[in-house]
Amino acid sequence: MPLSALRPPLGLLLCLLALVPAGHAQDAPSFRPVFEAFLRGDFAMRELPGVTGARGSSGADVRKLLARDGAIWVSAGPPDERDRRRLIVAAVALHLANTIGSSDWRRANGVLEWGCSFVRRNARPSEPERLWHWAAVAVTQASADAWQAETHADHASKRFPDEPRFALARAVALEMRTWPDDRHRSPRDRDAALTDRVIAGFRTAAKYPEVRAEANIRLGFFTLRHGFAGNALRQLREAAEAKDPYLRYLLGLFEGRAYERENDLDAAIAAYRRALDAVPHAQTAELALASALVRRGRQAEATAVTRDALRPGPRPSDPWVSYGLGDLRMWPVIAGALEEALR
Amino acid sequence: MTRVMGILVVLAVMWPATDFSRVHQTFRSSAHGVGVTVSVRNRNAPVGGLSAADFELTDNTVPQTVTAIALETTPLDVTLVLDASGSMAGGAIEAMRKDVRTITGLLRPDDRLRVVSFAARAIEVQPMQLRGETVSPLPIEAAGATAFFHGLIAALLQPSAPGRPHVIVVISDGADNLSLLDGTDVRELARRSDAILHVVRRQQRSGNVRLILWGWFPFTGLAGLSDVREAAEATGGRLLSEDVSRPLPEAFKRTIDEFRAGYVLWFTPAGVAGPGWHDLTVKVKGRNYDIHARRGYFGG
Repeated sequence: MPLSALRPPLGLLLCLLALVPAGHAQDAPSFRPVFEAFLRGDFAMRELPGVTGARGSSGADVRKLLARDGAIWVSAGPPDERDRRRLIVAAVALHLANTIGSSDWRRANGVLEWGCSFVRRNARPSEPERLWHWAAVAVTQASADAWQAETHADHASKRFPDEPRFALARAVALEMRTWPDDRHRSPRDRDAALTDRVIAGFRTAAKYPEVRAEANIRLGFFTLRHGFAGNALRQLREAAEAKDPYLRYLLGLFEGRAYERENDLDAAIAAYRRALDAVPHAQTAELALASALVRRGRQAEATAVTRDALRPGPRPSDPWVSYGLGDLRMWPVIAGALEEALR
Repeated sequence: MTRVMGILVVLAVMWPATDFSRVHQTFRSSAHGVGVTVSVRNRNAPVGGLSAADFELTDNTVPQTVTAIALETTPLDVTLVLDASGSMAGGAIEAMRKDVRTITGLLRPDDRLRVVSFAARAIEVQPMQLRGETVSPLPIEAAGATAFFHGLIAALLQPSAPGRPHVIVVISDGADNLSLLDGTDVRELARRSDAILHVVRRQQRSGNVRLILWGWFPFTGLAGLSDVREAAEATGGRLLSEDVSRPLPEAFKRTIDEFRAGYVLWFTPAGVAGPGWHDLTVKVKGRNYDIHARRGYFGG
């Protein structure tokens, strides 16, 4: 799935700096009209066309502007509304970071870090704050910045120690440090301490029923990457209860790869078919299936699968392509829930 | 020294079968048996005018009786696999479209061309069709990650048409940062494909490399190139490297010209068991020519 497809409509918040009333060109750009709109539960500003202003500004400028306007705007509110206002300001920072992340992650992360420190000033963790951190974790997972993903996951975990997704996020952040991978690297060439931490992280996450399946799938694939197909299969079987099609696809795909390493082509073919039952037409599983069918001598079936795989036109997102993006795949859900919580 | 770089095994009227036993039957009962395309070169120049009597071919070390046909006039099927990843955005993709038009013009009217592009996903932007039926300009847009292995595998998975030599030409910078399938899969499929695989790796200048800090790119580098080379050579093709500034159609023309200067050696396997992998060797009697021929095939 292209990242652009996952970007929130709120990403257009970059247009915020263009929201200065027409005819007042002498006025400095301000985020305050956006804060006010969000306070009213009006998120329509995100739909405004045109992204101007902030895109060309430095991250420091945007961050300073946000900090200045945010602090003033929060202080201007009644005391019992300040926590909510702080969340709204942080939400603007979040969407701003997500929007500029693909073009300039360093700037984006600066904005995100500021938003994170701002929202943590609230006295008590709340459901909107949990959603905010979840969204922030998703954005950092979409970056290739494993260190920041770990930092944000740690911040989130400290505020919400029993949140399953943050336990999983900490493991995913550690796993991110193992990307990009050298396909030919042997287990002996890997960082053993990091490997142990990744495994421990996924095992901790797997204790939570809410994320157990995903933790086991990721740990299974991590084990497979290290060359231990048998152990990977045992780990993947622990995820058999997965319901989410995204997870069931990955489960079948990784099982198929593991079975191929074990030279069990029939089991691999069955696993790839399970993956495609979950997400039909996803190309990685289709090519893997066709390849296994050819190796099994079933050329006619392989040809049919290949033809479908290569057909032009829109196709469903292949979960493998977004595997490393972690929770960003759930961005629309997270962003929507955050909006609702901010109303 | 005889170098085996091979060209093509046209396994006669074969492979539409649905299982190995049927493949075996078709392969054994075919009027021609097994066809092996062979390129013969002497000091980099093609050697023409050879006949069946000049060749020695063994199947699992057992000498076989062959008939030889020159490929010069044989219609070709070509699958062109193009890198349409984000690294090709801008002028590079436009240049590629132009190159494809030039390449199409190098084909003969009875040759056929299929075009597959790959970025995060491989797409058949043009099905196998006669030169005159090709669409221009091709609907290729550059974007996204590079699933080089998936593109290559997509081409190898397509069966070759009976009686038509099939050449796959893959053009890319050779980097892959996304494919879950890898060089091992490519090698396995190449051994089973009827096509000849040529990979032209267009090397970028080092200054083009930049640090990516957004998005997920699970794999790095050119670590699979040894597998690609092995896969290409197993089919009788080659991995070629050239600077990105060189005209692409030149490499394509060299590949096709070399192919057309070759031969198909037909034989009906005798004295060898049918199932499993068959090692092939091809030589020209009494000569030390460079010979490119498939290294073997799977019998039913």
